[in-house]
Amino acid sequence: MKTKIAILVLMLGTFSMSLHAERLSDEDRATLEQHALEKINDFISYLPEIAAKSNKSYEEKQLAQKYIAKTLELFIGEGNDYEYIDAAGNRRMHPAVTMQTTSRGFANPPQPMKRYLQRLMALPYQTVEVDTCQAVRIHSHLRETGDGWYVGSASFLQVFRATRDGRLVVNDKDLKIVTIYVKRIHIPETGEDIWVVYLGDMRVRSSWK
Amino acid sequence: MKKVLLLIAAFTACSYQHLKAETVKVYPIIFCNTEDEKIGMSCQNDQYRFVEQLGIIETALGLDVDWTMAFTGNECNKPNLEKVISNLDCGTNDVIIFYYSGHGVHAKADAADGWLPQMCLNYNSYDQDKFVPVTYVQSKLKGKPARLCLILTDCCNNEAEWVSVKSASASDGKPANTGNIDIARLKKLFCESKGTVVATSSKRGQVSLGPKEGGCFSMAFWDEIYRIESGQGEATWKAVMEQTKKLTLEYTNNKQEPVYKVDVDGIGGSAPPPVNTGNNTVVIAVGETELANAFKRIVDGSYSNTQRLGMVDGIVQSLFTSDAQVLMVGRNLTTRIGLPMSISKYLEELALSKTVKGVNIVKASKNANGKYNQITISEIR
Repeated sequence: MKTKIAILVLMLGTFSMSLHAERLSDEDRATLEQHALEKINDFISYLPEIAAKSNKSYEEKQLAQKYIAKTLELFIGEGNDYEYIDAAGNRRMHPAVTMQTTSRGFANPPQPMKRYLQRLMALPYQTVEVDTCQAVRIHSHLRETGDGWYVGSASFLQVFRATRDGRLVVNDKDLKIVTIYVKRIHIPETGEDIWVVYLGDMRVRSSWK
Repeated sequence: MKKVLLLIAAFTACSYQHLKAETVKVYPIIFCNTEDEKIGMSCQNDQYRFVEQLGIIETALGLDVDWTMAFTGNECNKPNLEKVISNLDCGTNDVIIFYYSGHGVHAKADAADGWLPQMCLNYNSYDQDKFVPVTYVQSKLKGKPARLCLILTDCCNNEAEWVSVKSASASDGKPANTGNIDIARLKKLFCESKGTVVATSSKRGQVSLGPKEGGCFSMAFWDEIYRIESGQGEATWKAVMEQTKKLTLEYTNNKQEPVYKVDVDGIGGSAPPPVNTGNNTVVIAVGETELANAFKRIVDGSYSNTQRLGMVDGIVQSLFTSDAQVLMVGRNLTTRIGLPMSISKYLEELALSKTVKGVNIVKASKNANGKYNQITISEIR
């Protein structure tokens, strides 16, 4: 009897220890969410470097391509379809991350991020300004979804202005919601946990014109 | 005509002199006993926190900080302390911040040390002749022309009969270095205050608590500075130290009471704000000057992206091994973020970045040829 109790206690102890090991501490959560916001800021800062290069030199186009590559690295799957595990534990492929934009206040259908960036580069504008209104913030905090993954979301206000022939031809202001994915990777050799942060789909929540 | 030209030349020279005099340079002198068996980890975290937090202030105020005077591990010793203080050459508008985290003790028979302890640096009790009293630092720094001098020590101050009194002048003649911050309040503390602040983490007879996260006093101090940065609290050194004392008492269940002396003439319009270089870039590197300079160049917004990309190969070849890796930690300096990255890829990322204002080198290791093979960094944005 005593042995059985001891085994039960040991099992419970092990279970609670593993639960503890997997829990995301408040400090880690705050740091990771901060890092996700920094990634969104990176994303926003890269857009003017990519946009409207159709009338620019070969060197500038090459540089814009580098920025496109860097931008895609911010996202899960790096702009390609990516693998995920469904609720039944099966490995499945998820379509590539998408971007939703607005045109004159109306939301367009989401398009793959890679295509969005390439098209952005080819747009025939003279100047492009992207302003975030200093409002990048966490929309919902990271929560565990199993298999070492955590999901949350952030929101930001994005103003996109473009000019052609000296005239303002685009002036869209969107509230965007972006999914945040965080993966814990345990390194057995060092006993360390490494956290990898990715951005996901970007959706328009509402817009003003 | 000649007179006019002479006048213009004289005016230009005066303006230059005036501008030169207005520049605020900060000289942090950091001594942390990071390899002690018991408190090494705590002191290491104190050092990281100090560098990180001062780095934030450096970025926010656009100050010019000399990061070459940090001494840890075996370098946390008396000759280095004497040498760095003796060689310190500062101007009348500069700021000196002396910070010590390690063991401390108080000579029981001593009246001269008063309320300040002796710093054990990296020495054991049998080497007590090498302990340095804080009063030594105080008296030496008093002789420097700096506008503001902060002396902060996070160490025990308990009395011991075996410790002898040390003269503060014993070593004379011996041979001897963003976004939401309330800038105005920080400036008031670091750019407009004139005088001296001396504080130690516990009063005479008390020990100082140093859990592995860092000393309670140091944490309380930076927590209060954070409050000031967030627009709360009173932005005077007296209020900062009083609040630090209260917070330390709170964090230690009233077991540890810091003591301090503030001799600052308060708010003065006399000390002008620092000259901001405009691009506001900063790199923090403890003793890694070459690496710091390389990072400083690659995040310098006054260069074009193409120019910055062009620097990558040269930096890699001169400073790093071909397979060098970069590890990144978050703003708390502990949470590991992202998979290890090759140095070339990371430098390319920095060269393209519009948001990274500086790189905090948390750890750096070299191979036998003196080239870096792994660095741990956190980014300042």
